[in-house]
Amino acid sequence: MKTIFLDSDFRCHLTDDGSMRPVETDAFDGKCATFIEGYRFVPAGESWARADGAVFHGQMVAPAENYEALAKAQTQYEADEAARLADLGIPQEKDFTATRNYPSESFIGIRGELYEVIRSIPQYTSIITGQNVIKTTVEHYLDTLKEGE
Amino acid sequence: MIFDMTRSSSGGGGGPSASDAILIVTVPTGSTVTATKGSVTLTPTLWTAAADASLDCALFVIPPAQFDSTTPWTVTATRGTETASYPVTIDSNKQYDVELYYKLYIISGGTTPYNWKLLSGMTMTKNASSVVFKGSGSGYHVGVVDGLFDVTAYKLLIADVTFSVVDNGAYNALWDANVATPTKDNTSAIVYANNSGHLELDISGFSGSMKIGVGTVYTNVSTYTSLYLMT
Repeated sequence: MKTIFLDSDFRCHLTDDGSMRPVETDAFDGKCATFIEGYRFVPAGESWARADGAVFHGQMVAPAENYEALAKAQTQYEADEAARLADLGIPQEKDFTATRNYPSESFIGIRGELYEVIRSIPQYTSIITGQNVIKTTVEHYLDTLKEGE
Repeated sequence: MIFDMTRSSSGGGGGPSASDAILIVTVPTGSTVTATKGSVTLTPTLWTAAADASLDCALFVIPPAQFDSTTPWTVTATRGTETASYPVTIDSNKQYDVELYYKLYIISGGTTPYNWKLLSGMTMTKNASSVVFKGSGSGYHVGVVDGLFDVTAYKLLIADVTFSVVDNGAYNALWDANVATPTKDNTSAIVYANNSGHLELDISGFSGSMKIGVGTVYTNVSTYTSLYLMT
């Protein structure tokens, strides 16, 4: 869950310039600043009118800028984060399918995000947030290492 | 919209006379347009750019002899394999405005010309007039077209759908072409169920190939009468 700020055109921002309103959403978990600030978030119950007159009702999350550039920034961010996790010795998965067995209380890096295994995951089965993993932080991972020493 | 053309009371010089009707048809760029009524087919007198660079405007001059309050003109736009038509009744010397869009149907009535991948326990049933997606238990379920759509020319993903439960659990979405397992959490654009049952998703920021699909939660049911891309 992340707090973003919306301007009057429903554009997303990470900081409030004083005229924006905060919104809590998990739509941008794991996304980099460039990606988030290139998006539009229309909350449920509200609507946004595009310049051509098309009206969109929330909840809608859609790119407000060229998606290709946003995706490129996000890909680079994920590569950087994955490298950081790999440097810590954390096994990496490209997607939410386990390519190996993961015991409970182990850790997995997926697309630059860190997950703690809360229920053992057999090889070739799905990794599901809330069911067999939860998102966590590098700080928590390092604390766990210290506790194990 | 400003045309470099002046109405002529005499009707000479190739321009419209005051007694003529003007038909302005806005279409996606690269289109050809005709206006047809019976055996008469007209091509535009003039083309001009619209304020939106992705659109053009075609102007037709309809003389009084062709005014008809009972039989409409059929305005047809064509671009490659895409086509769109709309009837317009022209019965007086005023300006008529028509906008035409191309639609690519993913679901139309009870048919879908595509194969679908059903993930996480999603089920799909084709009925006479709708395609029904239903979840099979706890968690989120996804149905995604087995293939990619080049969405460059489209600005909207639209669905007409009814939901058994409107609770932000059902949605329409696009995913990156390289997403192996589409889920609610890895979409590139998403619109959730709302009370209207007419969902529009702004996809004007995309170009190139994307995956398209639908999702629901628990055993909720989403009944689609249409799902389509529109220019």
